[in-house]
Formats: sequence, C-alpha cells, structure tokens
Amino acid sequence: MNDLKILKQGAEAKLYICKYLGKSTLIKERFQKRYRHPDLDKSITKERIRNEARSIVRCKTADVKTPALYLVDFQRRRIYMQHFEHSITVKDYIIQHATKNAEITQNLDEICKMIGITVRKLHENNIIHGDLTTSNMLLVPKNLNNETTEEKCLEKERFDLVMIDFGLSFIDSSTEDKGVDLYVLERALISTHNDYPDLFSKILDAYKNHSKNNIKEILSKFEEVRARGRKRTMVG
Amino acid sequence: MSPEPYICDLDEDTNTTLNIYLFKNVENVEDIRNYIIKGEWNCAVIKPSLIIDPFQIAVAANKAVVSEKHNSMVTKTVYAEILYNLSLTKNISQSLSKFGIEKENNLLVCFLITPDKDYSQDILPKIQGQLCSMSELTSLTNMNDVKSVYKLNSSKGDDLLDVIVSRIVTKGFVSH
Repeated sequence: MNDLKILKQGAEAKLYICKYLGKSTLIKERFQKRYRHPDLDKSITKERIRNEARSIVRCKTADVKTPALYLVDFQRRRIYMQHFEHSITVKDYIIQHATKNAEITQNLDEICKMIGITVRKLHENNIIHGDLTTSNMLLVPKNLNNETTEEKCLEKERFDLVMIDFGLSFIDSSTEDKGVDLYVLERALISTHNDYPDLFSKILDAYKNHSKNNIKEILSKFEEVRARGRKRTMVG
Repeated sequence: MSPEPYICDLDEDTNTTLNIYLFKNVENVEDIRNYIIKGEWNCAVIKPSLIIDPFQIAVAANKAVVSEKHNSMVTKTVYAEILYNLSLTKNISQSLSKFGIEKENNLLVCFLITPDKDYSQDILPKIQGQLCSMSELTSLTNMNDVKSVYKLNSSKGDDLLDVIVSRIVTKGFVSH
C-alpha cells in the first residue's frame, strides 16, 4: 500500500484516502490497542467494525444518506467506503460561510430542517448514532458537474445531508437512547456553535414535525436527560 | 475495432485486475455452461439482467479475491465466489443458479488477471456471440428482477448502485 494518504487519526482509528476500485475511497482502520489482550482486541475490533457497517447499511434502508461501502475487511481491520471529495462538514460550513446576511440564515434554516428530519428518520428506525455532532454531518452537492462549484450548490440548496462516523452507533428502540442522542447533539451545538443559539431548537422542531409517532415520550425523556446529564443515575 | 472490456484494478495486495466482457446473442451457451461447471474455464459468466453497473461485479470480485488471499472463501473457487458474493443469500447453489447463466443468450464474462495468469485470450475466441460495448448493459438490465433479488422497495435510481454494493459487502453479518 504505497499511495495511502493519512487524513486523520483518532483514538480508535486512522482514516486514509485512496483510489480503490477506481473510486475515491476512505479507509477507516481500527488499529491494534497494545494494552488489550490480543484476542480480546481482535474480537472487540471485529464487533465494532461489524456494528458500524451494519448501521451504515441500515441507514440506507431508512432513507438516510451514508457513504457506500466497498469492502469490510476484518483481517486488516478496515472498512473501505465512499469518500465525498466535494463535501464540507456542517461544522465547517457554519463556521466558514455563515455571516449574518439573510440568505445564509435561510440556508442555515434549511440545513437545520434537514438535520432534524434525518435524525428523526434514524430514530424511527431505532438507529442511535451515538455521536451526533456537526462534524459528523456532511453537505454534499447533488449532481455535481464541472460548472457548479461547491458554494453555488449550497446557495441553491441543492445538496444532500450525509451522515458519517457510526463508530459509536447501535440499534435500540428505547426512548432513553433517543433522548440521549438528542442531548449529545444539543451539547455539541452549544459548544461548537455558541454564536448561533437557535440551531438546536430549529432542528428539534423539524424532528418533531417529521412524524408524530412516539414523539411525546421521546421529548419527555429528552427533558429528563437534559435535567440530569447523559449518564443514567447509578442508584438501584 | 472490437469494443473494449470494463477493466478495474482490484485490491492492491492481490495484484489482480478484473476484465469484464459483454456478449449478446451467444449461440453456444450450453457448451459454455458445461465448461464452467466442469471447471475447465477459469472465468465467471453472469446474467446481465441482474447487473445494473459493472462496478457491482467489481465489488463482488474484489471481495472474492480478498477472501481468497485470506483463505476465507465460502465456495471452492474464486469465480464461484464472485457469483456467491453478488447474491444476498447464503445458499451457495441458489446464488450460482440465480446469477449464473442458464438459457439466456446475453452474458457477462469476467476474468481475474494477475501478472502470471491470464486465460482470457484462450477463452474469448470460443464464445460464439457478438462482443458489445459495456454501455449496452443498461438495456439488458431487468430492474424488477434486480429490485427483487436485492430486496429494494424504493425506486430512488441514483443511489441504487450504492445500496447494492453496500449490501454485497455486508451480507455475511447483516440480514437484508
């Protein structure tokens, strides 16, 4: 493997960019943790890779856009997936492009609505993302051709919202986990985008309006989580 | 000049290139089928009606050559493994009969080429049919059949290929 470009290194995995099967590809490699017993390390890694791939595929059935998977390789501890070359994270979009003019505000409203609907779709299908932050959401221009630049597409609202990094995701039908998922998102927005205090309420509105199913229970659970913090009390 | 095949370099560690040829109106389908079943031909022959894009085969073939390298194949040969990977079922004979050829006279012929092995030039002349450009594949795809084998209910056209390849690579541990 000579032309692997390292993109990022996190606590769990390294991300590489390369051409694979003729496509621009992102490789997520979960490296070995030396402090773990090798057998345990292997089984934990396998379980996490499997989990992540499962959620990504499940999202597609739930009509939530995620990267396409090109190979899941337990031996090399890697997931090979579609890399969106012409994309920007929601986080960077808000930080770089958002000024206080009206057009951008309108764009932000649109993005918030998409986020709300998307998170709702995940939860309707019992997919808990586990790490809902604006860095794990990509804006990808639709039908990119040579003439449309990234920015133009965003201006014309011709973009998709793609969810990434399902490393902490799991499947659960409980309202507790959905409430925590929303709470994580709220905290992330407060710490990353504190100059836009109404992002979360706009997202939550879209979340509520997309479907009425079970919404009361989820919202009251969310309020409960908000009051006590993410961790459940250890009493009892 | 004869139409060029679809060519795709597979995983670097396997040093393998996939070549796919599209044939129409093949007259000796039964012979071809027999050669393959007997193991005399080193190639995979696939029904074009279930393929929406050659990349679908590239992903299945890549998974097959990687499994071969890791000694984790489910079937006996890497070519059977391609057909098995294409299908979502874990039943080998069902996969082979679903994606392999029976009586249809259009077919996709796939070769795995390594620096020391290339059987394509021995086999291709023995196929009595009309070699076509891969761009004609779309006219041979049966969307209803594709949707039924890959259990796709929605009709969002542009993401179909992404969904199919993602299901192919996760079939071992996700029930679709």
